[in-house]
Amino acid sequence: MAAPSLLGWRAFWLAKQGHRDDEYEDAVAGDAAAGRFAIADGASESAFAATWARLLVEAFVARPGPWSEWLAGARSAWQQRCTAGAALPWYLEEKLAQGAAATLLGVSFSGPDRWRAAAVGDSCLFHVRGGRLERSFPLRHSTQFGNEPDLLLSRTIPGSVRCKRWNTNGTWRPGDVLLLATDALAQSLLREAEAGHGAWTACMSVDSQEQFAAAIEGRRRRGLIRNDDATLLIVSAPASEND
Amino acid sequence: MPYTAELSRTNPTCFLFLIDQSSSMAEPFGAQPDKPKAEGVADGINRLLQNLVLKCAKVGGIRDYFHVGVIGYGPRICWALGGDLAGQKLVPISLVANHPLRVEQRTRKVDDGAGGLVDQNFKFPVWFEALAAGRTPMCQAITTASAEVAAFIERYPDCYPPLVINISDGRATDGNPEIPAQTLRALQSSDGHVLFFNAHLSAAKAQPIEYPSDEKVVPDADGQVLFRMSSELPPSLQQAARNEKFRVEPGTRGFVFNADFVSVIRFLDIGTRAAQSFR
Repeated sequence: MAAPSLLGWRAFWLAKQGHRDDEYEDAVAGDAAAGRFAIADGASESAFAATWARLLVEAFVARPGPWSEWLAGARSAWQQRCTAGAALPWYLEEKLAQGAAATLLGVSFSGPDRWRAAAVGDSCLFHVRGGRLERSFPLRHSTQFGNEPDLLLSRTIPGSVRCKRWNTNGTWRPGDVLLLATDALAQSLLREAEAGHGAWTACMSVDSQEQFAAAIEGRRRRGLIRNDDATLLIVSAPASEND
Repeated sequence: MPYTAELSRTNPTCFLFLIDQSSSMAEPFGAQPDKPKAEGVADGINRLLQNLVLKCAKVGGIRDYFHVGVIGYGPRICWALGGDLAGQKLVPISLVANHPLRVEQRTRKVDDGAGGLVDQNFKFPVWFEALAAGRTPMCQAITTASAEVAAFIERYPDCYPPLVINISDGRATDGNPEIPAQTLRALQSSDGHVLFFNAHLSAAKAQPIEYPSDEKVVPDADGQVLFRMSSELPPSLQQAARNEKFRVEPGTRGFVFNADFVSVIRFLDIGTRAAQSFR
């Protein structure tokens, strides 16, 4: 099914304070023509999390259909990329054996006026209509964020707990906006909304990396956001002339 | 609030281990007659160092969130990491990662996913070797630790407070260790006082007494001395102990009495969870 015409997307990110850009472990991908968008948050305990997060978002965007059709391929690709090149020191061999982990949140448009989303973990989607929050998914409250979100693993480890995948869907009207955010930013946005000063409009208007970085750094200075990688993906379409 | 500093490469913390290497450490643990205490402790320290390295290992290399050191006390006081690190005091964890004394191939049983167990080979790096000879100059070891920790805090004044863990099976032979212990615990960064935890090893087949809050439950004068030397657990560590199903009360100390091999491993693990917030 075709995505709404004129659908646009833009994404911004900032690495954890004290980290270099090449140490950023979230990932983001989108394809406006296919109407598919995704963000992922690589778990910092793993050594190869950035590679895994990137493979997940790229696979989701490129492959409509059940996750089971592309997950095994993504796992093989992860193994290959991590072991390509020189022999690994003992500690990276051990980290490779432990595997990497990441959250994944994917959105797909299933027609001109409908979208579906699926999520593992605590990266969140916010559906904003008329400047107001219509839907928050999969978490709805800032207190629901913890230290152990569900994660997709790059290895199938016997005995490991199966992760829970959440699904939802919604309608799309001209002028609507979907915001996809990794956990620290998502929690901070929900907390502000709960305090009665939702930052949805400000968030929707971000249109440059510099503006995003300044906003996140400002929040960090004021203690309004945890120090973590921050990623925002904005899906929008201009309101039609009749609106 | 103390004990909340975030670890970063520019603001690391340190873990310093004081290991009793006196002759009685050649005796086995009460509950494990085939395991000399000295060997059990060496395994525990090597395993902990490995875990600390893995916590800091990323594709781009090891991030120096920790500096670590091991002081052995027995025939003499010595900085006890081996190989290229012999004689070095507190060293960044990246140096530890890249300079083991040797890397052994060991085997462990793992779930085969079909209800059975299979052998899996893994690499076990060794930095610290067992030794059991001589007396127990614990006071001197604590004084040596204090000097090094004080220098660390001078270099990193805002660090998560350094943790010193002392593992011993007996009584100090060079004085009352409560006196240098008090000096050590009085050291502080802007994030709180230095933490000093103690593990008492036993050759008796008695149940370990873990994280007590009252010295009256410790049935031995030497154990009571170690209890009094030990810091109270800060809130984050109280939570870590609770998560492992320990009863934690106000005044609970970083102390285990009659520790067997398993409780030493667990004690080292919980203690070093102190600093969880990395950046």
